[in-house]
Amino acid sequence: MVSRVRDSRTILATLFLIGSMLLSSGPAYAYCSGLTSYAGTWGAYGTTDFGPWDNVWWVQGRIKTFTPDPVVSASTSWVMLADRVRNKVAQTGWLRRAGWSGDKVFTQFWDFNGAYEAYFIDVGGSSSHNYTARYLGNGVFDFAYDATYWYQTWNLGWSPNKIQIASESKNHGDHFPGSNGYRVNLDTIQYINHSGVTNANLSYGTTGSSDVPGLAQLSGNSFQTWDKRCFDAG
Amino acid sequence: MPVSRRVLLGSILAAAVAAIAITSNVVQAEPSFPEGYLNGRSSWHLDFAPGLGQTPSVTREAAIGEALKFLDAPPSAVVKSIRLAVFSGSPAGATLVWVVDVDGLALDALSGQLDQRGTTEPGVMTRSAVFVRAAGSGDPIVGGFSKN
Repeated sequence: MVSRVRDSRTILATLFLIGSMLLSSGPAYAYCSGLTSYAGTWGAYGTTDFGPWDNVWWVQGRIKTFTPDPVVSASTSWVMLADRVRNKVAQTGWLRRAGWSGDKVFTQFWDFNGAYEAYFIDVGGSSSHNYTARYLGNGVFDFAYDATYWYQTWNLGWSPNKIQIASESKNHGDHFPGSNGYRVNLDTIQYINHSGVTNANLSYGTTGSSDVPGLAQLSGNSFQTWDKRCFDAG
Repeated sequence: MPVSRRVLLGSILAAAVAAIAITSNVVQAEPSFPEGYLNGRSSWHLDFAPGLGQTPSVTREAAIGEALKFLDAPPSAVVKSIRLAVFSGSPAGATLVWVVDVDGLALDALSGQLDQRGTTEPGVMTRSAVFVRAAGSGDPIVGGFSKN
């Protein structure tokens, strides 16, 4: 009788283990669906503020590609030059919006009339790429993908004094960049301020409800992000 | 004029008028998206007068369908224009594209500085010009531009 009970316990434990392995090896989207409109902003970021009158001219970071799924609004990882006083931005990285079959290289920048977004090539796959935002002076910015500058703005009316590097999503139903099994690396983050290329020394933080953005600081200029709810391979 | 010729001419005229009417409901003749946003920026260039021999194998209707799908466009979105162009300056090389100009979108802008804005609701971009591959194979969307 005792051995039968032991046998059944062993069988149950084995089934539980197999079930757990199946659950953790496949997509786990139980928390990643159900919402279809803007619900907030989830972010995991690193940032350096240079002060209101101290321009920064160039920021670059290497970002691992991830294909978030599902996306009901937008999911993205980027590097950014920003105006800390007037809250303006010029950013570039990979982006996936609802309706897109995969990621695109993008830039989004703001002038005093609003937001603009340009996008071009598709960046599927798991490799990392370098994304650069550069300030050319007179309110003009341009953006590079793997060292090829591909889009230049007009005079946006502001100059940058802050850098920020982040993963971001717009909806609790969006798959935030990265997963428990496949984190997105944002590394080799560098800037040019007064002299040559300098490794960043970032402060880190997250926004949105804490069940979504995972953040691991690896160094002053390197970190990882992931969606705490998901176990997929990206 | 014999009756059969009148009937023939009348049919042709009616068909032409109907075609114009159908087209004008979908696409306006004049583009409304400022060309300055699309052209002359860094390496990016659109030549709206492609040379002879550049023949699209993708129809206008198919290109509009791809663009609306890509933009996750609501039913109220309006296609303002569609133009043929050669898009150059991207790593894909010079590519024949349909530039599909769409209004009435609801694309959430990104949030900007996450440490300052937190979960503040972003602005919405309502206009977009999407470059849809007009010939050849590969990703149908080769580029584009959106604004509020």
